[in-house]
Amino acid sequence: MAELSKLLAFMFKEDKEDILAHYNKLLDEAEDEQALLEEFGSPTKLAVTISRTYNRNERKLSVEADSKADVQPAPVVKAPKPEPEPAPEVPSYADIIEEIRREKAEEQGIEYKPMFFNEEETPAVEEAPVVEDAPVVEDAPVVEEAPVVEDAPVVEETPAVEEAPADEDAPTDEDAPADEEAPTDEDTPAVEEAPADEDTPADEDAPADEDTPADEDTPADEDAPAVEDTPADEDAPADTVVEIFDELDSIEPDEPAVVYKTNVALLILYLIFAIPIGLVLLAAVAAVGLLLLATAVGTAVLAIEVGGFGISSFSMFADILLCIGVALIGCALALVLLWLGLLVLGRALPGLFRGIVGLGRKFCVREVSANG
Amino acid sequence: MAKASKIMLTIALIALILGALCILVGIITGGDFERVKNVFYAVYDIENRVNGLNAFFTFIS
Repeated sequence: MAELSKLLAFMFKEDKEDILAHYNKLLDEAEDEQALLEEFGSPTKLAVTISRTYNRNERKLSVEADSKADVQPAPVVKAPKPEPEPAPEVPSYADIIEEIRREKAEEQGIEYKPMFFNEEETPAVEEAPVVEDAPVVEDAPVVEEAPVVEDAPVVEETPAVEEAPADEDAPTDEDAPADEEAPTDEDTPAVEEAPADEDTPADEDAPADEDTPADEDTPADEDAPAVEDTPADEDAPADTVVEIFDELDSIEPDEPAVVYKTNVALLILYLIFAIPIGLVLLAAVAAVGLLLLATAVGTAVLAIEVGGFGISSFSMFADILLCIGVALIGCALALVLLWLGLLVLGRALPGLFRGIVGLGRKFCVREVSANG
Repeated sequence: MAKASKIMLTIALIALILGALCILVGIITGGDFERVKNVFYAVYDIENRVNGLNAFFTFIS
C-alpha cells in the first residue's frame, strides 16, 4: 500500500486516500488475502490501471469528491467505529474502475473478474479497541496511512508491520513482544489468516505483503525477509512511474465536439464587399512591393555605375573616394529598399489575404456544440 | 526572418558608414563634387538625355 501510495502521487490527495482506503478495506474483508493480492497484481500494475481510470474520469471523480465533501464535512481521521459506504447512490471510485474494467473486458472478449467485492461489513469493529490498546500501535511511525483506513481499524496494525524488519535484525529477544501480540491478534479474523500466508511460498515475491498486518504479526514472518522488497522491485517503481506518466501524456484529453455552422447569407454579403476591396488592397500592396524592389535594383545599378565611373574616369584619389563613398551609400540604400520590398511581398501580402479570410470566418462562421 | 532582417540592416549600416567615411576623407583630401559632377555629365551625356526627356514629356502633354 505504501508503494501504491507513492505511485499514485499524481492523483489528488482525497482521491488517493479514497482509493487506498478501498484497497485496505478489501484486504481486511477478504477471506483469502493472498488470492486477492494475486488478483490485484503488482502495485505498479494496479497504479497503471488506476491512473488510466483516473485520467479518463477526472471530471466524474472531482464531482464525486465534491459530493462526498458535502455529505461528510469533517473527514474522520481515525474512526473508532467503521461506517458503511457513504453514498451508494453516487458511483464510488471503485465502481467507476469496475465499470471501465468491465467495458474493457467486453471489448477484448475476456471474462470479467471484479476487483472489488461488495461484501458486508464484518464485525471486526468490536475488536478494534483491543488492537488500539496494544502498545506497538501507539509507537506508530507511519501516520500517513492511518487516516486512510476509515472503515477497518484492523489496518492500524500496520505500524507493527514496519517494526517487524527491525525485529528481524535482532532475532533473539526483540521478537518476543511481537510473539506476545500474536494471541491477542488472533482474536481478530484477519489475523487468523496469517498461518495460511506463512505456508504460501509466493509470500516472498509479493511486494504488497509489507502492509498485510497478519503477515507481520506472526512470528513465522521472520523466515520471509524478502517481504520487505526484492531489489528488482525497488527498481521497478521508478521505471513504472515513468511509464505511467508516458501513458498519461499519450492519452489525449477528450476534446469537446464542436460543429462549425456557416451563415450563408452573411457569407454572400461579405464576399460581395470583400472581393473587390480585398483585391484592390492586395494589388496596392503588391504594387508597393514591386516598386520597392524596382527602386532597390535601380539604386544598386546606379551605385555600381558611379563606383566604376569614379575609378575609371578620375586620376585624383580624392575624387575617386568621393565616387566610392556615394556608391557605398547607394548600395546601403538599395539593400534597405530590397529588404523592404521582400518583406512587403513575402509577409504583408499573405498576411492581408489571411486577414481577409479570417475576418470572413469571424463574421460568417460560428461554433456550435455538437450536442446542440 | 528577424535574424535575416538584422543581418541585412547591419550590412546596410556598415556600407552607409563606410560611404560617409569615404566622402569625408575625399573632401578632406581635396575632392570636389562639382568637378565630379561635370565629368559625369560629360561622360554620360546627361544634359542631352535630360533635354530629350523633357521634349518627350512636352510632346505627350
